[in-house]
Amino acid sequence: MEPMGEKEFNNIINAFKAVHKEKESLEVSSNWQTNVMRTIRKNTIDQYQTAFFDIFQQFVWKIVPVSCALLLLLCFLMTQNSGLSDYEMAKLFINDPSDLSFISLYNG
Amino acid sequence: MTNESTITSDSEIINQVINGEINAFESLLKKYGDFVLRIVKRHIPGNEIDDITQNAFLRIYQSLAMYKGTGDFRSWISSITVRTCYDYWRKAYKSREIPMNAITEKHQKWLEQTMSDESMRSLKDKGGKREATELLEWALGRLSPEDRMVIELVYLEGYSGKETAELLGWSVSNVKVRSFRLKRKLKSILKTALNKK
Repeated sequence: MEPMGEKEFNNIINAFKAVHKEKESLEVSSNWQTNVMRTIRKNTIDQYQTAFFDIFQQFVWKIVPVSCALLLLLCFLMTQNSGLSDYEMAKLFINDPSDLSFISLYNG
Repeated sequence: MTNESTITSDSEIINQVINGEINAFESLLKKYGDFVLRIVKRHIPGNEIDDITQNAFLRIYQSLAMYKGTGDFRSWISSITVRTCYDYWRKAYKSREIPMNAITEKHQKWLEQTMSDESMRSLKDKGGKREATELLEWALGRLSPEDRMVIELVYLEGYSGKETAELLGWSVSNVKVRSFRLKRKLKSILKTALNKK
């Protein structure tokens, strides 16, 4: 077996170059072109849908803190109002003799 | 004149695609389809050619807005295609899906014959071609994806260090240092093939 010098190595590389170049002649189906266009069209539709969803999501997330604040405010107002109305109702009933008798009737 | 008009028509098509006319991309696909396919065929195994060519064109489509129109469109396309092939090998190496042939006496015989043969007689018969292809794949399978790309581009396709660097998006010095070291590495791999029992 002879040692692998520069010349021997170049001979091998030249042979490799030839087989590497021959790979180009490999037959493949032409379906890939149709598939590319189909994928591009599908991706574009998906992108539009994603864009709409993104806008919607952005809008929803912007509303969340406002709606939370509103909810808290409403809760606060409700507790305040309901406390007041109970008190006022009782006051109203006690001051009104007819209603008082009505209550007393109920209380036995 | 022809080159100028080609550039104009390419840039016109690119503008149309960027402005949302997807169907205009079909003319780029028809024009550069074979060119891209030839690059992919050289770097990718036969059963993956379809998928990788599709991926390359999808990348080209997605990157069209980034094409500045100053350089050669063909070079820009080939750069994206070569990088798609490189990504394929990186993924294949990560998932360890590298086809490995065993080295037989036939391969060793072919190697010995080719070493002393300048006229490449060893490639004249069909068997010789098959052994050369298998041996090349075996040797490339022993290299990293980066080294594989440099061997293929510099040694097998004859690109210069600068051209290879542009195609892969690396620095010229990286490619030059790598290709210098690779010569020794490839020699050592081939010697291993020769001495394999």
